[in-house]
Amino acid sequence: MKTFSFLAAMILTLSLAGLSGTAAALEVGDKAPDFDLPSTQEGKFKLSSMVGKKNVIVQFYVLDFTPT
Amino acid sequence: MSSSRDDYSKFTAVDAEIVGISMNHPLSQKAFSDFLKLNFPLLADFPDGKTSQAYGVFNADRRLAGRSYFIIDKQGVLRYKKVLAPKEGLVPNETLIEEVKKINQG
Repeated sequence: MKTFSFLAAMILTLSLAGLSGTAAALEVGDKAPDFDLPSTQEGKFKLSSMVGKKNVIVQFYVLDFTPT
Repeated sequence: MSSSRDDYSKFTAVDAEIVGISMNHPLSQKAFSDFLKLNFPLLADFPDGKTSQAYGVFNADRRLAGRSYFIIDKQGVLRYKKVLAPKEGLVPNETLIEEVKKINQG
């Protein structure tokens, strides 16, 4: 019985983790999620501070000091 | 990153700012930025990768952001998205500039 409860709890946990991972993917036409992150230039960079001013090209990259 | 540096004036000419985001430590980014003499900011999505998660490019196994491109217009709306597959080549700057031009034309 104990084993069964443990397995049931584990399955529940895994299925909940699965659910949280299925958040709607960001698509073209959506409002871009705002961010406010430490910058290598002056303090922080807040995406929403660019509204009405500039287009923003965001490039996610994997690692510093690599060409990727 | 160095190609974005070299073409920076072409990006500003179409009214675009560039930012690089990774899950590396701010000090590592600073060293990398100084090494390449970057003229645009690198932003640290560190340590939890919340922004990478919000944009759907968080690699949970490696705890790193995946190579990807997003263009956001002046209204704060996402207008272009490209997430690279493993070993897929980088998006040329010309492509990104063309996309921004299209946005500017409305």
